[in-house]
Amino acid sequence: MSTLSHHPAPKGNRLSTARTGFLLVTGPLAWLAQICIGDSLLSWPCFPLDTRLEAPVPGYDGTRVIALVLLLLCAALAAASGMAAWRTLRAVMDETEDDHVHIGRGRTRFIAMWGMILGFGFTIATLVTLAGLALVPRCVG
Amino acid sequence: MRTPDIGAVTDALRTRLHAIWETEPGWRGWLSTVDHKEIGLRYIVTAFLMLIIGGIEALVIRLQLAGPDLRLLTPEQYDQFFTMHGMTMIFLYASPILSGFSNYLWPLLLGSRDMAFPRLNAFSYWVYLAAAIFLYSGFVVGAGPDDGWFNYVPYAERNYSPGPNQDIYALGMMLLGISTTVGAANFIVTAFKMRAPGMAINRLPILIWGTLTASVANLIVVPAVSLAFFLLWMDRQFGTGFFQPALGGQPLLWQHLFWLFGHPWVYAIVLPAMGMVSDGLPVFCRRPLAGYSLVALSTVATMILGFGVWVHHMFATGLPALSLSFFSGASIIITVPSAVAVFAWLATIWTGRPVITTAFLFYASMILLFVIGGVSGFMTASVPADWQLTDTYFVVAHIHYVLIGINVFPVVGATYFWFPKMSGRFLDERLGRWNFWTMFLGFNLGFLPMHLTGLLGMPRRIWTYSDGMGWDGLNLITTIGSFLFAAGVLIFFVNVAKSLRSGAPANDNPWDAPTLEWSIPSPPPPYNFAVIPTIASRHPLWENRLQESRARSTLDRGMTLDHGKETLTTTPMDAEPERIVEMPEDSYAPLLLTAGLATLFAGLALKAWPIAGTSGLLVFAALLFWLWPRRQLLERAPAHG
Repeated sequence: MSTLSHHPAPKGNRLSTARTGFLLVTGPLAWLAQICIGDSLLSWPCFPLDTRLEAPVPGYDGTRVIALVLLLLCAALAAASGMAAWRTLRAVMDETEDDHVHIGRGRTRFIAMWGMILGFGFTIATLVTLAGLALVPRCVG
Repeated sequence: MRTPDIGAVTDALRTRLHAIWETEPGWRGWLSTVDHKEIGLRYIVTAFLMLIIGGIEALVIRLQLAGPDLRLLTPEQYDQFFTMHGMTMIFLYASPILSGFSNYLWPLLLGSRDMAFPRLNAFSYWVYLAAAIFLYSGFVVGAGPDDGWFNYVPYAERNYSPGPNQDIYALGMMLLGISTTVGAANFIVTAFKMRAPGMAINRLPILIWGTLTASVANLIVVPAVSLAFFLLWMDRQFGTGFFQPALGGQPLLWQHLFWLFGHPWVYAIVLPAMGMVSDGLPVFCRRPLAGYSLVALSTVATMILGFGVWVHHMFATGLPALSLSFFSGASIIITVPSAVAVFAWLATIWTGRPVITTAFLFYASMILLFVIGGVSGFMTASVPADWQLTDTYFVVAHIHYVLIGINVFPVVGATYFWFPKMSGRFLDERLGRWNFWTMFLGFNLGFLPMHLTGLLGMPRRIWTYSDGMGWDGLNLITTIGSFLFAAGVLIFFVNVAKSLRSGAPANDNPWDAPTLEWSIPSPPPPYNFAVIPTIASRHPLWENRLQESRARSTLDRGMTLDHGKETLTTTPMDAEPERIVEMPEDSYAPLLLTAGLATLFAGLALKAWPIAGTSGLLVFAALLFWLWPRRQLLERAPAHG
């Protein structure tokens, strides 16, 4: 098949499929992981059977620390993907679909920008959970 | 591999393609067509019919609530009416109407001759129709679902609902889930493989982003609700006890499974509609959408965040406090991407030169309604506020601002916008103004005071209320507003009927719009594009005006692909030409498979096991008929010969 005369991603070779996946998926997955795993770790000890307890089941106090570590790890992962995307964006910042004007920048730049916003955005979204961990009682509110 | 012929659009080419792609006239063609435009229109007509039915149910509910101590309906009838209303509007109107527009428009927006899987497309529609009839079968004999559209256990269990009402709902939702799932898969493959050469991922119309995002979500979350309904059906038929504490089950499991699906679903039924606004509004502002990249990203980000907010429907269930805070935070954060879209629309209007048409009025008013619905949703993201507001009419007002404001208004606007493309005629603008103002005033008169009704403590789903609760006047105003809104919707349908017969003729691009569907005749021919266009920007028809780039899209010369029912597949990211594909002919297989499935589900509902077993065989036979390899599709040739 023929290729395009005006390629939409002249710098597409700077962004492999694997790196594209890492930039776009890491932030959202890190956020989803911390919310699902963190919630499970913190909820179950308070609600193991049919009734909610006033305090966690004995022996499960440490789950709060585990959830906190997990949260920070996920935030770091999301931030790392944001940083990687930022570096890619700098490398392809001048990518245009041709050499004419400002609008209609290339596809590689578009993906890098998305990766950067998703990475840093989901870092912030992950850190929002810290407010809950710092302020809200564990089992009974 | 064949090198495609390159040529210009000629009458001879058009005639040849017409003969190849045209559906056989008469009932045979009607039952077997796989043309995406025909299927899209069927979706739209059926979904609007469901809107009318659901609307009539709403009006009956409002008459019952117009004053205190009224007895128009019995409590049992009232339960069925509000359940059928919610189920109809959410499952049988709001999502299918968007599937209809997307089915019709996607290949035209993408520069393709059809969806990726045309037979799957037809199957998706037939199953939707079968599920709608199935879900209504109980209601027409007085045994409709009666536990609300989210169907909480234990009320939905056999102990509390011994009739067939909930069985029909459970099985009907599983059937509908099949339609939604196959439709979603089709949209995803179409978005990534069926774009015109050069339509890179950063040049997609926002409607494509909206429906693509919704489809990915549906593919992920529909299994959760199908599983929930299957487990409920097992509980009811075989006493499995998945949701019954006495048998070791958990009622909250239902709520988790339902809302894991339910909240992303809410976004699935608004994001494509937001896409309609993002693509339509700029046309009337005479400028491109402000912040395209961010609006596209906000669409995707909203859906991702939407996967992590389901517990905000369960704040009052007694879950641990810290657990609630996780989901409260996520529900507050989700307003950020939504706000991005709102500011982009406002910037587009502010910096554009708006032309006030009926479509513009519907699109622009949606922004206001979206903000009202968004703010009331934001309020319930706070756990203490939600504890006061949950299960009151405040939440009913919120959901109506979301679903009518961000679905019905954009859809009606989209009909004014794309009707000339679909029919070759304009909708009447004078009637359109009456249509808009009646709907807009009626809706706000009906539903804005409903927030106050909720704040005054009126619980949702109560059959009637006593005099002196302080709710009489507000309920009467809501009823009057609802009837005014319904009159507006009626004017819309009158306008459609009138304009189909005698509307002013429309040319190929009556709004001077920038996207590909406006480059072909109105209504489009069966093959859509005589030659496959090559795309060089987001606005192929505005390139000379915008001067964004030196490159120009090529619309009147390209691959002719006229050796058969052919179209082109391209690469997922940059839409580089990849392969010529032979598209399937019209077929009865989707209809036969649907008939088999519908009979199977009817057999299960009636507990007529022989019918269910025989239908299972029919399903198997229909699948064999569908999948049998065909020589003309090269399915019987070796892959590497």
